Amino acid sequence: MGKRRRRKAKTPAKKMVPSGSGKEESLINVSSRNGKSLKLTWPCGLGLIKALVLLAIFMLFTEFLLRVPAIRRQLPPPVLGTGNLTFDVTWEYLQRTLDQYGHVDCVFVGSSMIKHAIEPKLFEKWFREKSGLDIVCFNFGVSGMRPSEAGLYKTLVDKLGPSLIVSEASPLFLDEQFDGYRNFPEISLSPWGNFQSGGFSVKGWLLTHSLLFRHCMRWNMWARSPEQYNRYQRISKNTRMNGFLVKGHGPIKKRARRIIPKPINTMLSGKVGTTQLLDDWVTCFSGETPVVFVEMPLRSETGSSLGEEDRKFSHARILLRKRIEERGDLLFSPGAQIELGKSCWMNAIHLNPKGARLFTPVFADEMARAISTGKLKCFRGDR
Amino acid sequence: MNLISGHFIFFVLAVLLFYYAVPRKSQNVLLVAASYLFYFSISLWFPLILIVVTVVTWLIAMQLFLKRQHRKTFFILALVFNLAILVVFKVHHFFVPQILSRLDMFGWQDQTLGLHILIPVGMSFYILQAISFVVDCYQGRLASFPGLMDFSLYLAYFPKLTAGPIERPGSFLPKLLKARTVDNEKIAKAFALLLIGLVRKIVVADPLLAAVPAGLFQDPGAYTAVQLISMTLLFGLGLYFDFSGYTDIVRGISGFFGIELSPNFRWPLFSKGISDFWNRWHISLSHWLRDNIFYPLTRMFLKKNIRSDNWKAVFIPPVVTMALSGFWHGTRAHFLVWGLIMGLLLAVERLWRVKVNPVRRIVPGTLRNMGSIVFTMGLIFACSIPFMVPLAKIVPYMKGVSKLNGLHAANFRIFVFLVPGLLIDLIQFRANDELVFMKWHSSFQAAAIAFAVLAVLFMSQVYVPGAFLYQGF
Repeated sequence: MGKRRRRKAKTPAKKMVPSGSGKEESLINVSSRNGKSLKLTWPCGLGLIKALVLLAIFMLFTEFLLRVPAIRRQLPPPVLGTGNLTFDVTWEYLQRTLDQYGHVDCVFVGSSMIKHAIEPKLFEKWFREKSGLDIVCFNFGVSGMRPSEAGLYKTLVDKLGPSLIVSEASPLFLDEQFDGYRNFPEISLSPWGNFQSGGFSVKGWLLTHSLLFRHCMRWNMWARSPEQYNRYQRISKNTRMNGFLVKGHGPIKKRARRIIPKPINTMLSGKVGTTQLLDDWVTCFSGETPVVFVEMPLRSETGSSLGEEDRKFSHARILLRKRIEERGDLLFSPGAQIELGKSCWMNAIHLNPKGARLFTPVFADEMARAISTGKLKCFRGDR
Repeated sequence: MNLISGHFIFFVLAVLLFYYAVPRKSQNVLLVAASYLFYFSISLWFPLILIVVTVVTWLIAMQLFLKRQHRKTFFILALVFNLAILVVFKVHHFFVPQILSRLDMFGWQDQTLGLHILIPVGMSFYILQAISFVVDCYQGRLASFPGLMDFSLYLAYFPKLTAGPIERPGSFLPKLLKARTVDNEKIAKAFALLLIGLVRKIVVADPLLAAVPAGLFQDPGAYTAVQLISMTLLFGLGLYFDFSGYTDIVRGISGFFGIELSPNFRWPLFSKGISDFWNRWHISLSHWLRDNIFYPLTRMFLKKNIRSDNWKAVFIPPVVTMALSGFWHGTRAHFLVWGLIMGLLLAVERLWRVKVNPVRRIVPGTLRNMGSIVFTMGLIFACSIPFMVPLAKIVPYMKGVSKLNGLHAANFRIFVFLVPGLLIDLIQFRANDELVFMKWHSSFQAAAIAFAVLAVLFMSQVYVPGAFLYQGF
């Protein structure tokens, strides 16, 4: 391309082809009736070839560096572009957990309620004490996760091959019309989500396979939307490596108005489709892996409207529990029966770390008991 | 067919393949066919107008070229014909809604009718070229008269059809008539231009334009002062990189066919004055306006009074020229206001340079140059607000700006996307050579190409490449 190449382009043919040999001197000579239109001589496109080789080396080297677990742990989590920041962070931390331990035995799935309620490290500790099994747990609760996106969880389960799946059993989680979803875009509609469900796109492929591209997406978020990026940073800082979310997202602005808890009956749609969604949800996990449904604790203070007195909510809970019992193949843990004080709540529906510290051991006890009594089988543990 | 799409790449490759396979005499015919095919892919009826413009202009111009009698009549006829077509399509939106409402009264509720009466893409560009051709024929500047096929190619050549550059017949037609040979150097140049254009468009312009809220100029009251200023700046810069990217891309594509297109930009961000800016921004249009409107008008006024204090000759030509430039961009009032302001700026600058210019004596060279650049760009951006903001929204916009609020919520990070664009411009400007990168050491060249390709590939996935803004004029 440059001067050097141009100079070369004029001379080498003489050296390469003996004069008078009758052969063409040029690399390409597209002749037309009146002369030559395209006259390319060797070397042609050498600069481009060099650049492409350099590009390939650079990309492979950077991709390799980014995948080294020690380096990966030091970097901020790259994004998946799903629009659900908690999901993006949690997905990355899951990869890092897998890099560290090689496997995950128990995975907690559901919405932000389970994400705030179960601390995997504490669960592991109590479980070890009670059952003697050394397990690795990961909390894959995701804010705004819809049960209709169970397909993504199937991808997750297939990837992990856990011994136990603990799913949230909340009427809120199993209500597709829940108005809290309005703030969260559907993950399955994003290029990454679409790629997971078989729809091919270059972007989906890059998001699935290239850490370099995902970091580029993070830089893009940094430049385009500082507010969203700061929120992303806050979530990644507040999320532990095992997926447990210590704090909520917090207000976007420092002096933003305090959000007044909404009565739960206004959050639920008139027609709670719990049973159908439950079936879809469970079908997704149907296999040899046992699934345990855990009901999230409820805030039963007067005025919060989240107590047993809420008829609509109670009705939905009863319906859900009944359906689980009818199926017979599912274990149910009635977490709502656990009474937790005012100091254990971060807001109307999410536990704070203190609440999680109280709730997790109780649930771990119950699981350990289920194993010892034979209710839970196929639990490999202690690999 | 968007210029940045798989379809277009396939189209260009297919045309190139045939182009080098057919005999040289048939190459222009092939290019005409390809150009019309490309135009058909945008709309079925756009090419019909182009055919009419081509045939009628060519026939009248032939009379101008060959005959000695009634030349003025033919000249005016050709001008009126071309301008009438342009004006009819440009001002149609004044009466189309009324026509639609009338049709509605008769129960003919065709909602899509309005969409069919859009101005054909590229019309503003090829009409000016047709006028140039007629003027050159009238003034006897053409050495030989082109055949219908070559003239068709001059107007319809697909790389420049949708948004220019506006080629002059005197320089472009000989390129079509002579034998073309594409060698290593030309291919390398074409590739370099293509890559620079892609970086400007995909890596710089698309992120900048995507960051500008859709309703910024329609509802300025909803934004803070800092947002209004920074987003307007982003839009202006995005527009520049979008259009200069387009020009580089089409020049690169044309280079593969051995046909060199004129440059449209010479780093306007480094302009040291208003007239300097218009010699660097959309050069093909500026020069067209200069040669066909500004110079004749100036000559007309100077004919009557050749003295330097002839204010009419100082003020009227730039104002009229720029007002027509505003009209060319669109018939809405804000374009006209923008044109008038730019014309006034040019006139004032002309006076300033001739009569006053005290800065030159006091301030040293480098500082003066930097100051000139900053001052010029500030002035250009401030005076281009009417170009972007509809007239009815100017007052709310200025009110919003005058509040001087919103500094804490502003996003200045987005300006990081400007870095590669400014860097390219700076390097080219300092070397006064748009292909300065080709003079670099081969290792640096390879590294630059590698990073450019990587950036283009990644950014084309992050942002869906949008249509070029100037195709809308």
